[in-house]
Amino acid sequence: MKKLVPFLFALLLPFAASAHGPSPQKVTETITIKAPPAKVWALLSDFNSMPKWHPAVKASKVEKKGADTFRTLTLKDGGTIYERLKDKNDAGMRLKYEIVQGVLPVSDYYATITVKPGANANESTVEWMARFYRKYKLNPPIPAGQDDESAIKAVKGVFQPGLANLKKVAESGK
Amino acid sequence: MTPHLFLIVFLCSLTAPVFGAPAFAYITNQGSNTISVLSLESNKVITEIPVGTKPVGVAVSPLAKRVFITNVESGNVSVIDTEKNKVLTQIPAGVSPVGIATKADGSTLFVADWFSNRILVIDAISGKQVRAIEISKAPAGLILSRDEKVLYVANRDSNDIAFLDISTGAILSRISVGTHPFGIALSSDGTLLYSVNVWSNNVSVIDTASRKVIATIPVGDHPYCAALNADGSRLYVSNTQADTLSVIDTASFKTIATMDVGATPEGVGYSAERNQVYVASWMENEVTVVDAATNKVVAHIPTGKESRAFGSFILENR
Repeated sequence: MKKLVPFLFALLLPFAASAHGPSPQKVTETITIKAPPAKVWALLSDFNSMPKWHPAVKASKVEKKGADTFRTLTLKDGGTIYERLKDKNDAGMRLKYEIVQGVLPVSDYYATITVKPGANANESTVEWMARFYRKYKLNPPIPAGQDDESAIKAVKGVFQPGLANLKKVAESGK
Repeated sequence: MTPHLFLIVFLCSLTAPVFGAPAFAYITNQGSNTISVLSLESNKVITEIPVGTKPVGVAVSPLAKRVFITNVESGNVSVIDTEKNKVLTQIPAGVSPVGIATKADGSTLFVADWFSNRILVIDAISGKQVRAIEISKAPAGLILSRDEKVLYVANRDSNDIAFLDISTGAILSRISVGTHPFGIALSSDGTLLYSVNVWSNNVSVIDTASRKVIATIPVGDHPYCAALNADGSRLYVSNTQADTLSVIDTASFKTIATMDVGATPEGVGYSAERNQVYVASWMENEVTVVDAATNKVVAHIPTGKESRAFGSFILENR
């Protein structure tokens, strides 16, 4: 039995540990767009423009509070996301923002969206990156839908259709 | 390894040539479950060492020729032989080990077990846990005092730095700092301890003798880690959400330079042999190298995925 105890403990350990971990999660998505970077940046740089290019966003409302800029995104399914603009860099064509609160199952979420020159003058690459933790940051048991996988799935679910439609809008010339 | 064998290795290490030995940076890659071993001579990654799951913390012992890595999701410490750059063994280390410190001779490890709010003391030779000490909430950065009698612990969720007597396990002091202290740095003479406070965007300077905060330095957005140069005159702080490195003059406690580095910079290390600063970039999967003489970025070195390098990760001979 004495020998069995550490053996049993060793068996338990990977299971006990796998659900733990204060590890930040990352989602990075990129897309190539056949439009000049300046044109793509014109679409993205306006913090209030998301309904123009993101298929899941129905409405956006921007408000200023002191030096800070916030937006409330209303999604087509009815949920809302409240975000703060962290930084807008026109020279680097990069927008940085964070979620204050909203329907995505994430916490401490911030993201950057960057427009880079593509292979030729009429081509751009857009890179959208986020860092976040799952919604439930404490010890397991983790409530359903609040784990790392759910968080990553939700963010990819925003990024992938968003970039695909951004490409359509930017390339259509509207 | 038996204690006897360790002693032989230890004595050999003392007689080995001090100069000319290779210098490396050991970068933990949370996303690829590896360590990128970066040669400071060539500024290239010479090998990737597979370790446990989600490696975060790192502590080097040049004397023992060992590097210790915490794997937060597999709950263990990987022990790396720095001559072969291979994992020798993995030691169980609580549930969610994050911060790690080692005695200079590599004999004893101190591990911050994040979710259990404990500091684990581990005999690095036998791999056995010697002690578990209750501490405040979410212990993160760890550093030993220069006389190796006191362990400094940043407790992220209770906003304090604990001074722990390692011989008795008693908490000598709890010092309130800014909100969410994470990384810490200690001057080479051991008199000043710097706590990097993630949520309050500043650094608390603690006089280790009086155990008081003597200054608070504003830095960039969501700072994480810090390192000092050889004489302690400069402090380098990574600002994870500003994607910058702050350079602070420790005579005036003022920021004298800020430079763009790889996005989401985390671990910061200083090489005395090269007078360079190495910053692990989680978002860009690279190490950004900064020349400390000019405060200019001199290299971007690709690493594994989601590089963190939390702790002391520069292995060199001085």
